[in-house]
Amino acid sequence: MRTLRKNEARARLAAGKHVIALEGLNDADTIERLGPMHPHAVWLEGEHNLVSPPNIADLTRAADLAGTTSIVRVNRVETGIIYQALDLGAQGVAVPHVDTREDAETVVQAAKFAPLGKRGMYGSRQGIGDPDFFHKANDETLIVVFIEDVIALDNLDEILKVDHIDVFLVGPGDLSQSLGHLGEPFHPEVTRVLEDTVRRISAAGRIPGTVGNHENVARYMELGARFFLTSALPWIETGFDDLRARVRASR
Amino acid sequence: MAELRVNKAKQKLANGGIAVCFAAWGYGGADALERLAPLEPDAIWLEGEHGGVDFSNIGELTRAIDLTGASPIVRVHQNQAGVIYRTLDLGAQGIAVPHVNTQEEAEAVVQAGKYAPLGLRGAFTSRQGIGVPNYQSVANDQTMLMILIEDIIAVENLDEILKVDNIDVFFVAPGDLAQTMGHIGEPHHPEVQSVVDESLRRIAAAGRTAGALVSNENAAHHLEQGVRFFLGGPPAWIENGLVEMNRRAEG
Repeated sequence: MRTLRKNEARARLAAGKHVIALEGLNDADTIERLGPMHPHAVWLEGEHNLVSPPNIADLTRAADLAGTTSIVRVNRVETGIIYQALDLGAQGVAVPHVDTREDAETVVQAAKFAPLGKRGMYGSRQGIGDPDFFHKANDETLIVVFIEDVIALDNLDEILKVDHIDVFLVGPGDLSQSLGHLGEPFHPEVTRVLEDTVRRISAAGRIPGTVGNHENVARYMELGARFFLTSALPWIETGFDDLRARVRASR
Repeated sequence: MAELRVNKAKQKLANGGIAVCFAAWGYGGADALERLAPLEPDAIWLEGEHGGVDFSNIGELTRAIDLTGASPIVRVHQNQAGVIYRTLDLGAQGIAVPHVNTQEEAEAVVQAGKYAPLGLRGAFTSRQGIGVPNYQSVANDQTMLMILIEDIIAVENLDEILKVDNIDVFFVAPGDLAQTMGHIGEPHHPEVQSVVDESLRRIAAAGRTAGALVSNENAAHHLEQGVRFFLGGPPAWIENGLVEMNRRAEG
């Protein structure tokens, strides 16, 4: 008998460890080849990019085989979209623009089965062969909500009261926009608000996350963040530039 | 009226420069490839000998590469005229042909990849020729042909193979060479590397362009052997970035 696949990223967070979720690799072949690198999680982008129901199963299958946790960022706070992503095989969902306590509660209702929520009843791809899937699924489902609008900061204390959300990810991009600094996610005021928000989440005993990179990860770890949405593209660019320099090639 | 798109890698080599090609095997999807634009690679290598690149996706993948400004190069799976020119018709600006072992096989590549008077490529409108009224008269100038010297018999026939005109790059590949030299799975075996180095030097000495698959670590060595077409891929770059990210997170 098969048993439900463990959610490695969620287990790491529960153990107080950090999680790096690699983004920008929305291709099954690319994801499966990450296996030997043991990434904690792969981030499949469905708010802004091409990840959607027709390809979630293929992409998450590759993640399963690579032994990494698959997290789909869905397009919006909407019940059906959230549990469909889970049914297709995502081990985690990330939901953008969670601005109110009601939004946060909607996410939990959509992603968890009773008694925590009322996720639509269906056999997920992750549940194939496990007769006890419906009773175990909640424990292996990771929920990330994005705190990325000024209004969400105003409502943060209320949002943080909602149980069963694993990560409160403070997104600098949209935050910069709603703070009046469009396109400047590293503007000092944005950074100040972001750091303050990470502290507030951590102080409430919840797990903060943000967009992480080599430069800021140590700083946010200090502030309590444990989840980092990270792009591999700068590393690829660094590697390619280094190769070009070693063979004295021009751009 | 449109001008035929310039083949960036071919132009660089023709000007005596060095071309650096991004190996997109196991790194795919048109969307991921288009996002490589800021790296300004000279070429992007699509894998159709061993990977998932075939007639059903060459159009989409090469369109994305066109938008980056790099030359799309497809390694086809066999030295067959119909396969070679259909790949060009779908939008590749360059072809890499595996296991070219004799002068006759090298001549067959040119016959398939070039229109008259150089060859006999099937006459049809390539995607690259859309809106270019004189496409078939100018296509040869922007079509890059690359052959793989990767069997010990090809090394033995190298002087004859090097006499074939209109081949842009003679690419020496250690993997299959190791196999045909009795060192399967050991491309870094000293005996294999010494044949690789010697072959690269022979190619350069004949006034032809040598190509090689390199790592950042051995690229400079290959430069010394006279290589001017370098192929490098992202797995090590991603892994280095991930290792460094974890190191910084863990302090």
